[in-house]
Amino acid sequence: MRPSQKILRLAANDLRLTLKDRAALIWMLALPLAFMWLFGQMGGGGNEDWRITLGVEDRDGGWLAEALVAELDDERLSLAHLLPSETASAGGDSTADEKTERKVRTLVIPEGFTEGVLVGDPQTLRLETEPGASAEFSVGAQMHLVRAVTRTLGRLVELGPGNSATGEPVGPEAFQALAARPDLVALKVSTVGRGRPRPSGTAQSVPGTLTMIVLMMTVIYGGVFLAKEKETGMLRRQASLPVTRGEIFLGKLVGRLMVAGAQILVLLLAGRFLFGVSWGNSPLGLFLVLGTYAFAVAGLSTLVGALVSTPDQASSLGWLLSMILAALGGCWWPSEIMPGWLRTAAHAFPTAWAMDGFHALISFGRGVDGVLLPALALVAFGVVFSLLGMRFLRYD
Amino acid sequence: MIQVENLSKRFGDIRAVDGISFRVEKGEIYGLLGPNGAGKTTTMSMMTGLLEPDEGRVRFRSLDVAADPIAFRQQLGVVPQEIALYEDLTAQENLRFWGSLYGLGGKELKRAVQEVLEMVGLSGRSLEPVKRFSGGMKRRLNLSLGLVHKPQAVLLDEPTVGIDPQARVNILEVVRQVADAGTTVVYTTHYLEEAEGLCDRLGIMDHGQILAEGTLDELRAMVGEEETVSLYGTFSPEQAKLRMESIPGVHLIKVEPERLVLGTGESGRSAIDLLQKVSDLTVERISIQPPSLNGLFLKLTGRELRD
Ligand SMILES: Nc1ncnc2c1ncn2[C@@H]1O[C@H](COP(=O)(O)OP(=O)(O)OP(=O)(O)O)[C@@H](O)[C@H]1O
Ligand SMILES: [Mg+2]
Repeated sequence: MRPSQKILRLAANDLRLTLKDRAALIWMLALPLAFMWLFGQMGGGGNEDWRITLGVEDRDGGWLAEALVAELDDERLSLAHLLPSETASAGGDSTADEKTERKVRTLVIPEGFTEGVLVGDPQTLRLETEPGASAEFSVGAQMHLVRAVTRTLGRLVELGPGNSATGEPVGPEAFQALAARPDLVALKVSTVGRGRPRPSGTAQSVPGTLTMIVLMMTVIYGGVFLAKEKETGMLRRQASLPVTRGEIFLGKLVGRLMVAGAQILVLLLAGRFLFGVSWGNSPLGLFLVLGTYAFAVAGLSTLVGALVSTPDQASSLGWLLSMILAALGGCWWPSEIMPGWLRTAAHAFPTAWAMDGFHALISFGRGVDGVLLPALALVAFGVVFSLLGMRFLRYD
Repeated sequence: MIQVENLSKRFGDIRAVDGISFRVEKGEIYGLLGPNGAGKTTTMSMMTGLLEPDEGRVRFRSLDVAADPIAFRQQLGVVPQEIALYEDLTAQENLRFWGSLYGLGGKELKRAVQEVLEMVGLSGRSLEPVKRFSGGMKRRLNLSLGLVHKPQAVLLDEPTVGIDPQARVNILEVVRQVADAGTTVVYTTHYLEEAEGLCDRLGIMDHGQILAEGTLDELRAMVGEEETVSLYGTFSPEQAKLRMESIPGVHLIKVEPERLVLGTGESGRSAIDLLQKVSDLTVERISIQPPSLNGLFLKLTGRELRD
């Protein structure tokens, strides 16, 4: 039998034992999903794909007002249309969504807007923001609004003062024709690393939760599992098989890697399809970060299992390590809120590198090039942890 | 054929195994009989390659075990003293996993698992998780894991500890069956009856040494026809010692405050005869053991096997 075959058989057995353990499955899957959701809610959830929501109350109803709203729609804003009556009396039979929107920020287009603009009367748009609204998002909404207004005015200027022969003002048909034409000048915005937008909402919470929970479950369960095998004499018994100790050790390591991999896959898919999380647009980059991170934590779990002598100790040490690594690695809060020296120091832990990788992919839309360094660092962690685990694991 | 040469292992100050040698032929059951802490498990661990000996070596046929442990372990079945099973897996899953690591697969593995399950009488319960098994069933499964790949040699470390008589009978039968099929068996125990009933040859072990070795008959010959007589009562050890030394054909094995152990020698002196001679001692109870290995052990060590 080839060594790789023996390692895989040992590893597959570990995976199977984990799948048979209901408690483990609940901890590994159900709980993290609940966490993701909860943290997402606390961190200003509901903006999964970074859309800024804006309520629009069109008191004018003219064609120019409609055109402006259409421009706003093009700005990738999440619009909620409100009836004028609703501003006066909160509630009524509007849907829950609309109510929320009115609470947050609302654009009010005044009566007589279309006519007024066409005859050259200054008009005032009002953006009403409620105290509870996210300031960042309100600024974003303003920016979008300014752009939409600018575009609308630009088209009006281009069309000129209307038909001078008949004295008729500009009509919606001519305006629409112009709007359909591609923009003469387009502005493409891409974010580079420097101007770090601080990840918030689910963009922070989901990778953070994933990083923490994979760490916690792998280290605790992996450590406990190995300690149990030592305690029951199972490891000793395996050492009497026609396999080398290196093969046994790799079997344990690969087994943990498989468990972590399966867990990651489920959480990844759940994040995408249940919570609409964007994992960036580089599947290969994502695979690199997650694969190397799983390797690092699998290595750590074997080290924990090797160092302790009872499952209880493994569980305590696993908890402690996970909490420290998760907190300092920036899983619970954006590491941007930590002082600079601490942020640097946190890179002594694999969690910080994993979060770096995630942010590069998700917040900055980077590709493989953006995650090479984190991935490399994570591989180094995995190698060091594994070597130490192999060194300290005793079979007799 | 397994040959152990001058094997030694020290743990700090303890000489767990102290220069033992023995040889086990193909199809033979060799018993290592000794009390707790005699060094049986340590010997087994060194034979498997789990522990590195301080001195000595183990050979299997022409193979030096230390030089090629993997090749040796491929031929070897090991049944450890502790029950090491996956409780969440079924008996069959445990066996399949174990068999697969010996390189078995497909139909061959399936048949091997079925056979060994029948051997230990668990085929009816093979699909149940092990955690629902009784102690005796677990012991039997523990044994079967070491046999699933039909090894040339097996090392069994106290495979019957703590189980009911019925499960024990099954295990002993299986071991006999395996040896009869040509497997070399090393079997450790601290049960006298087991050693007497099962083993072809025995090494009596204590404090890391083999004190006596041979077939059952050879060992019995060492005890001779001697009966072991224990006298219980309240007497002064010094006084008792003097009295005994005056009786021809009787020798003192052990003196305790309230117990005197005597061997009655070749002269065939009966216990009754002896009693008359010690009527001046306050003897409250007397027990007589016919010639046995326990008597031999007592004679060799001054201790009983089940101390
Ligand atoms: N890993 C170890 N470290 C220190 N001492 C040990 C170790 N293993 C065994 N010993 C000591 O070596 C001696 C022999 O132990 P061993 O387990 O070989 O005895 P045994 O004959 O198998 O006993 P038992 O019938 O109780 O299983 C004992 O004194 C034991 O305390
Ligand atoms: Mg033992």
